[in-house]
Amino acid sequence: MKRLESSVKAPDRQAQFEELYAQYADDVLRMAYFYLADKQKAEDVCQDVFVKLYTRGEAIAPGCEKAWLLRVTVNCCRDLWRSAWLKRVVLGAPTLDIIPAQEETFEQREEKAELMRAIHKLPRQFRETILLHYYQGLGIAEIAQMLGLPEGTISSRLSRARKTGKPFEGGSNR
Amino acid sequence: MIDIKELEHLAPMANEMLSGLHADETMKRRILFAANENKRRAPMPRLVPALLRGAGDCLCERLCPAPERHGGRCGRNAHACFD
Repeated sequence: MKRLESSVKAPDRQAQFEELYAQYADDVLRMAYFYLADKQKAEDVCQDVFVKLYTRGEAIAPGCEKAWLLRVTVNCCRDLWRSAWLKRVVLGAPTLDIIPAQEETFEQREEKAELMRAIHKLPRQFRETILLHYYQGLGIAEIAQMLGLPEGTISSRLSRARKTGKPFEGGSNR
Repeated sequence: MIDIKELEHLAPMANEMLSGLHADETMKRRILFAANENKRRAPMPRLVPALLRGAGDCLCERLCPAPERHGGRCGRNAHACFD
């Protein structure tokens, strides 16, 4: 992985952008979609994240590019999630639709989508912890550093999310 | 309760279920366009408002030269010019 430094020249920055976009853009887009259950908003988040990457002022530590992108993704999703609070309360929370590439039977898809919907219905802080740990494969220490929380809190959130996943269905979802 | 064994397979399963969702070339072009627009619309330097205010002061002084009445600072006390 190339080093990302703020002092790099514009062509290098462009090359780094291209490289990181090719490597992580799908992850960012899918993470945002999983979080928000809205394709249009997920695309907006993905665009914002990579615009911030391209126009950032600070350097990104080598090897931490994915964590940086996911941190910005989570922050953008949080902002959108909070701003849409009233809409969610009035119209109800959006349902996560799956978007598979290949054709599958309805039953096969629904079976697999059940877990994803259960995760999507978790309260925000549990959902983002589960997504970062089990979907994006980040360790507890990495998530703790990213969210600025103690490791114990992350472990506790993971444990509580696993234990109480089902009862949250149809819950507050805030 | 969410099954931990199912969670262990969340990444490949979710990627499969969302495999129709792609960040394509169109989105990349849109990002590059937005990034360049952001750069072009760089914040106005602090010097510019100060220069504009200074020019306003000079113009005001020329239009109504009465320095003894309000210290020649018409830009800051523009209403004084019209007393």
